[in-house]
Amino acid sequence: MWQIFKVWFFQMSSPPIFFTQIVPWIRWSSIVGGTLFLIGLVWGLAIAPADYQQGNSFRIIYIHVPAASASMTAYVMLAIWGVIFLVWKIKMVDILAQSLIPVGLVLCAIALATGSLWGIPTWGTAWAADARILSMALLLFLYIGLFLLRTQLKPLAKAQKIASIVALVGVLNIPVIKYSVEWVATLHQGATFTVTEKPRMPPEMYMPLLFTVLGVYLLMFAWTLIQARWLCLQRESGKQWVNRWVTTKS
Amino acid sequence: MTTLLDDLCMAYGREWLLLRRQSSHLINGFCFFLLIGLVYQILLGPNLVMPQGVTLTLLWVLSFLSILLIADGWLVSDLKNGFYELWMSQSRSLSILFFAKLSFQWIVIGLLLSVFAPLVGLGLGLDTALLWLTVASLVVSSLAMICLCGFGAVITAGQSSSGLLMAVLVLPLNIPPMIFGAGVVLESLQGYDSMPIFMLTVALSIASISFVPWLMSFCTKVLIE
Repeated sequence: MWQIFKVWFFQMSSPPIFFTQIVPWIRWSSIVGGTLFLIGLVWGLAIAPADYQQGNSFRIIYIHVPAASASMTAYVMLAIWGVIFLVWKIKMVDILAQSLIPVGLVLCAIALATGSLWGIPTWGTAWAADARILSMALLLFLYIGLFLLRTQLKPLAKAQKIASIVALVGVLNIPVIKYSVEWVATLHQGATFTVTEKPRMPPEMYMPLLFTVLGVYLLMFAWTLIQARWLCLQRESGKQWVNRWVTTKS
Repeated sequence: MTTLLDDLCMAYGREWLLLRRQSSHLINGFCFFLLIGLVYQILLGPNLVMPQGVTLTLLWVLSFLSILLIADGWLVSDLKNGFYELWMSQSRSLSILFFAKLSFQWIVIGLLLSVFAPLVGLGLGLDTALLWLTVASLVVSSLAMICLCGFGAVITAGQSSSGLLMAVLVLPLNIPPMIFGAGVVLESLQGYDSMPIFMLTVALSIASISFVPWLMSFCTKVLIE
């Protein structure tokens, strides 16, 4: 069993094999993720009952929470991949990290935008100097900084190492975001659900949320892999397998 | 083979020499600090009064921006004139060099801040009762800011658009020292005990001076290759 996993892992670390073998993964995760997300969205936006305090404006939770959660997970993954790349120098890990950066950036921006939209009817303001909002805005800037570093630093080896270090240093922000709602009495509401406790929402409300969270995570996975495929072609351009693929495609 | 203590003494000696000969970026940074403080006083005029919270946060933002200006000049010039390569070719520790640079910068900038920050603060209407706490927390949080700005300077050294990169990368990393540093005085303003936050500020500064020199030496080695 372990041997099978090891062989698979080493094979997938090679760009030409990754390029062809990942296609069914992308197909399935995007179909399943898209379906789950749509089910959750329709269920949450149309069918779930309105909240007794917030009315219908609470429904933005079905987009806001998955996007925020996915963008934070993406950053932690970037930090972990940064360490793996710095220690073991696996090329594929760096390709995946570079593919994940724009995905995480967009998800973080969606989280901030939907959060502001939520704030307008519920708090009366689109923005507040609140710990969680500010640290999410910080996360957005960290993503922008990583994106700029990746595109502007040349040569590639330098960009890879420095971006990995910056991802590592910035990961300290993630616990600050996650726990800021517990440490500081802030405007932002507390955690909607945790792994250890029973959710504070009734099932009719949190079930669609689970669907959308799962859907967004799978879609993020698919999107990153699509980007990674193109980045493989770009990084390995000039090699035989790329030329062969290009000629057979056209 | 030189010992770490030899490297440290040599690095400090060189920093002292550089300070006496090439202190233009330091003067640049502090002129910026004083001038912007002056501009605020001019624009406000004699009748408008800023709330204490605004004065304090302004002091921290100004210190951060001045440190950003100073760090860039102090660290990048050595990269450009090949000093780091010379240092490494003698098998000396680059981390010790950066530790010496950052700690020396802190001593100098800390002393200057403790002189100039009260001037700017009092000019902007800072309460004299808060003065010693402001200076103490500013000096302590400046160590963390110097380390992080130094880290940013080393990463973006030699890039054509280093200004934008520095701002986008370094500002998010510097926000915790600024929050905790300013928080010391802001909490005391609201009547709470500021010791816990002050301890956090001290912890942040100690952590940054412990880890950032090593990170900077790693990045410099990547850059030089």
